[in-house]
Amino acid sequence: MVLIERIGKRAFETGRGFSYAMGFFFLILRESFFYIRQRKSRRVLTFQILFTAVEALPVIAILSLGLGAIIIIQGVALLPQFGQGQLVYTILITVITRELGPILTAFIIAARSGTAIATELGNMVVSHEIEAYMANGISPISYLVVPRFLGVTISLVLLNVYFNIFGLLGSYFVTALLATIDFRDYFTNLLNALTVVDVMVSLLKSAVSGAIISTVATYYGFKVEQASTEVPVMAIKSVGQGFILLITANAFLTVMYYLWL
Amino acid sequence: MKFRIRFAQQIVGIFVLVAAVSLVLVVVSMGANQRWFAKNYEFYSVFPTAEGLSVGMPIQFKGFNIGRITDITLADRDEVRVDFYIQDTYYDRVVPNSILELVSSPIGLGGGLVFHQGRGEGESLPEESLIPAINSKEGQAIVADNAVIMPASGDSITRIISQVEPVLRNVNTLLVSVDETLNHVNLALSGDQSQPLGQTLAQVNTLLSEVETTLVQTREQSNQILASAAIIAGNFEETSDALRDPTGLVPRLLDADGSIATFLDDNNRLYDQIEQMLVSVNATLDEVNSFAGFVNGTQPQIASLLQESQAAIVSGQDVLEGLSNNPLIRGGITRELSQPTTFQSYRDAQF
Repeated sequence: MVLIERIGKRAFETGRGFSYAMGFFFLILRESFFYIRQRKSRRVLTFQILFTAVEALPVIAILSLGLGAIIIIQGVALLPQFGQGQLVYTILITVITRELGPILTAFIIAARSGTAIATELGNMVVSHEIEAYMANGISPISYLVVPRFLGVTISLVLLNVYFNIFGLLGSYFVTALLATIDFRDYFTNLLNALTVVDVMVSLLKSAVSGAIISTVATYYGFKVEQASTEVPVMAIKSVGQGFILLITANAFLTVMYYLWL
Repeated sequence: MKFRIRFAQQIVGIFVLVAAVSLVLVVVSMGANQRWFAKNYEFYSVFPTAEGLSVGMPIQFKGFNIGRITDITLADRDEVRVDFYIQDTYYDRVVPNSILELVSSPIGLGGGLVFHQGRGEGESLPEESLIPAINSKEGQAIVADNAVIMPASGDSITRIISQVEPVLRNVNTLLVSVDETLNHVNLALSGDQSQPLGQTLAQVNTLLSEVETTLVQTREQSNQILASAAIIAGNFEETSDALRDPTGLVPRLLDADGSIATFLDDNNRLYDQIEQMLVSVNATLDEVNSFAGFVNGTQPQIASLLQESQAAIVSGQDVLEGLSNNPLIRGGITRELSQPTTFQSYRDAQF
């Protein structure tokens, strides 16, 4: 009986937590709409993009360069043996642009900026800053969450574009050090293999990932109640929960892509 | 204050601008490369089967991609309708009597949908016109009229393979004609035919002339195949003669008065080239080996086909002999001198 009671209690808590998270997400969406419409101060947003996107660029660049170079080198060495040399471009597009690019970028940002946002907001809760904002009539959602939500979402989209630039073009120059590949042939074949749908799906995945990371990070940041020891716990939870949601959302979008196209 | 904090707006601005410009450039390049705004001219063709065809398959003309397959559907009468487009830059090549050929190599090398341009001047075909496949009735008629430019295949093996199919088709036609002839004669001799015997004989005569035409065509095509085979055999023979000749390549190389020192004093360039040649020869021998395997695999079918053809021709000969002995036919049929075959099996070749 105790076990059943516990399961029931857990289910209720999960359901309540889910509905609270959904309400939190829709509140962020609504406040974001007002934020864009009322042209509020862009300074917090600019700093969020600076911290999330610009400072993460070196990591993203190295990762995408390495990944792209490995695909090109392996593809150029192996695929022509089966008479499928042209497939290297399709594989590059599939891996860099459509599948791994968005999710790897999201993982890096979730681990890097997601934890930072959750920790920062958690510490603000512990030091009663949030209460001070509310006491002064400032909504913590519109002032603290929305710039981070928009900043992370925009950063993810921008970083995905850079991931593609480094992964598709930069990796060519890395490979050119080891093998002779004509740049014009490479670029033309790449553009032939790339479609608008690939680009749109990639950007959509990044935008969804950005929304997930920022919502989860702010949600767990505000979940801190009193003690500073709760802050790292919530930061870890935000990363774990964020990863699960990121994989699920990416898998869902990939399935939708293959079902509809 | 840190540089990046002080100039945060500018840094983020440049960051966003570079990403946006790159994205726009990629999209514009894609549009230009994939010809989003260029006009494509739609045509269709009919094939007996969709095997070897796929949507997106390029259509090639003289090695250039001039269009692509857009749709493949199973149409009425179980025919396969293939819709495709030709790019506007190549539209003027699509003249009447143009045909499509699905090329596939039995040894797995190359292949694709090839466009053959019709002969002569003329306006381009209007959109949604039929461009027949080479193995359709229309395509065969165009080829028979020599109204299409069919470039010769590059290598001897492909040429032989491409010539075998029409030969087999002609042999088939020949057998059907002989069978019809025998049926007519049997019916006439057994008295089951209502029409007069003279009319039957006239039909037999017509059929025999068709047989003769088919035989002539078959002989011409066989001669082409044999000529291709003879070229290959001749090349082999020359090579083997050169190697067998006691005053040939090896003694000349080893001659003390010769220029062997000059050959050898070249930083191993000669040996490197010989090594490369040996690697190439090895690769060629591998290909020949695989081709020989393919030929061995199909040999029983060809042998049985030839035996059946031989039996049919013997039967036909008997009929012709009977007809020539028939007093009702004045003058008879002109006797043809037997032409001994020049074909030799691969085992007879001298190496």
